[in-house]
Amino acid sequence: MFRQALQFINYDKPKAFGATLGVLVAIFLIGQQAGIFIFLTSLMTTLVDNSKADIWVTNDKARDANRLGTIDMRYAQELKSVPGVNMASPLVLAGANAKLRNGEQLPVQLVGVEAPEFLLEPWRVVKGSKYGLLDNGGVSVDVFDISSMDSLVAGEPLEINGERSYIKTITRGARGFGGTLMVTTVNRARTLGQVPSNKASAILLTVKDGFSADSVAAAVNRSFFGIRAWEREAFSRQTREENLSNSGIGTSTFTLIIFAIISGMVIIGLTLYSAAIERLNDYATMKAIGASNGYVTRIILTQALLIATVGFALAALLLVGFRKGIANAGVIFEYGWMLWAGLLLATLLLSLGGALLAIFRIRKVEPASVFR
Amino acid sequence: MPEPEVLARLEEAKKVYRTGDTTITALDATTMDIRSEELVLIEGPSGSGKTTLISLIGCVIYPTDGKVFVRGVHTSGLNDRELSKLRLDNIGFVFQNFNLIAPFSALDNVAFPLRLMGKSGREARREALAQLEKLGLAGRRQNRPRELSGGQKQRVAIARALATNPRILLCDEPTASLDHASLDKIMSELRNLSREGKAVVVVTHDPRLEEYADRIVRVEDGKIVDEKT
Repeated sequence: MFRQALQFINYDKPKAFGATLGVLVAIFLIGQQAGIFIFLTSLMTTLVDNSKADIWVTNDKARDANRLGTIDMRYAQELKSVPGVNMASPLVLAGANAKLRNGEQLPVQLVGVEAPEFLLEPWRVVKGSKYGLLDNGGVSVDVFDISSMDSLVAGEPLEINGERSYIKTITRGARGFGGTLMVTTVNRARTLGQVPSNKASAILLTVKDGFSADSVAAAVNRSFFGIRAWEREAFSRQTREENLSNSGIGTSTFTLIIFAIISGMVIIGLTLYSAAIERLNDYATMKAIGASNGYVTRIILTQALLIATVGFALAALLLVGFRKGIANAGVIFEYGWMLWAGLLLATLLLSLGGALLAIFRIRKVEPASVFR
Repeated sequence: MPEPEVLARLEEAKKVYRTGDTTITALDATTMDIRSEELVLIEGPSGSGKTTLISLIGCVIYPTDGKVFVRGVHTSGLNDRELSKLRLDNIGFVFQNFNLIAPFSALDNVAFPLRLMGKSGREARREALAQLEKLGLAGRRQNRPRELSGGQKQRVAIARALATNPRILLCDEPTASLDHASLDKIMSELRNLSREGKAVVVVTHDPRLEEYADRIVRVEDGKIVDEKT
C-alpha cells in the first residue's frame, strides 16, 4: 500500500509538489498566526502570570490586570487579618513618560512593587538584579522596548516625568501589553506617577501553608466590600478573556486560521482530484483486477498522508525558524506540544479532507470502463 | 479423462443501459457456458454486445436481469468487496490497450494482484519476477509501461493476468496491431493455457484468430446469433 501510494506520488511529481506546497503554506500560516496570538495573549496576562502572588485583590470593578483602577491602601493592613493570608503587598501601576539619554521619548507603564517581598519582580533579567531597584531612582527596562539605544548598561540615566532615574535592571523579553513596562518600588512609582500615597492598584497576597488560595479568596470576598480577590490563574484567565472580547484579536486570528485551512484544503483537494482524474484508467484497472473500493480509497488516503507528513515537516522547520527570527525582534513565545498537536491535526484535516473529492470520484469509477 | 468443468455460466443474462429516457439493450437474454480447457472466440461487429458479454463473465458489471455464475457463485448477490475478491481469485484480464498501471514498474504491475491476494511485498515480487522470466521480460522489470514497446506491454499484461493462476482468462482484442508472427505466438500461448485447464475467452474482430479457437461465438445486436465448434 505504502509503496504503491509512493509510486503514484513519484509518477506525478509536479502535482505532489503542488499539494505539499499547499500543506506547507497553510500550516505555516496557521502556525504563524497561532504564534503571534500566543505572544499577544501572553502579553495581556504577563503581570499576573509573572507575579508570585497567590491572590490579586483589586477594585471590584476591575476585570483586566492592565487596567486596575485604585483601591485604598488601608485594605493592605486589613487583609493581613484574614485567616490564611501570609503577605499582603501593594502594587502600583502608573502611566508616565520616559526620556532616554539619546533624546528618544516613550510612554511607559510604571509597575511599583514593594521590597523586599517583590511579589512581582522583573523577569527575564539579563543585567543587574531586582535589588538594583532599591537604589536611588532605580527602574528596570526591557532591551526590546528601547531598541534605539545602541548599547545599554546598568546605571544608564534617564528621565521619567522629568525626574532623574537610572536603569538598574535590564530584561530581555519582559514586555507589557499596554506599552513599555518599567518595574520600580511602590514609593517611586507613586512619586513618579503622581499616585496618592493612600492608593494602590492592587494588593498582592500570598497564602500560608495549609490554606488554599481559593478558600482565602472566598473569605476575602465574603468579608470586604468594594474589592475583589482573584486567584492568580482566575485573574489571568479573566484578563485574557476581557482583552480578547474587547480587542478582536481572537476573532481575527481565528478567521485567518479558518481561511488558511479552507484555502489549503481547496489547493490540496483540487491537486489530488486532478491527479486522480489523470490516473482514472489506472484506478479502474486496479478495480477490474480485483482491488475493492476500500483498497483504492486507502491508496489515495496513503498518498494524502505522505504529502501531509512531508508538508508538515517542512512547515514545522519553517515555523521553528520563524519563531527564532521573530524572537530577535522581541516577539518571544513558545510553541507548546498542544499547538504542535493542533497543527498536526490541522494537517490531517487538510490532507484527508482534500482527498475526499478524489476518493468520491475514484469510487465511482466502474471497473468495466477498462473495456471501453 | 475428466469432463471439462463449467467455470462461468450466463443464464438468461440481460444488460440494459438507461440514459435519461433512452434505453439500450446491450445484451439480450443470453445463456452460455464457459468451460475449462477451451479457447472461446467471441466475434461480432462494433456495438454488437461483445464487451458487455465479456464484462458480465468478468464480473465487472451486474446483469440487469438473469443470472451470472462464476465457479458456481451467483454474482448478483455479492457486494463490491466480495465481487472484487471473486475476480481476483478466478479471473485474469488482458485488455486491448494493455492497461498497465502507469506509475508502477513492469514488476510491480505483475506483483499487484499478488499483493491484493495478501502476499507480502517480497513474496509477490519474487513470484512476479518468475512470471516475467517465463515471458522473457526479467530484464525490463524495473521499466515503467511508457518505457516498454507494444509487444513488451502485451507480455507484461499477460504475465499480470496469469500471476494469480486464474481459471478464467479474458482477453479483449489481445492481438490488435500485432504482426502475424507475434499473433501466432500469443494465440499459441493462449491455446496452451486452455490445454492446461483454463478457460480462455478472446473477444476479437480479427478472423485470423478463428483457427486457434475451440468454439466461436458470434454476437450481433446483443444476441448470440451463431455458435460453432
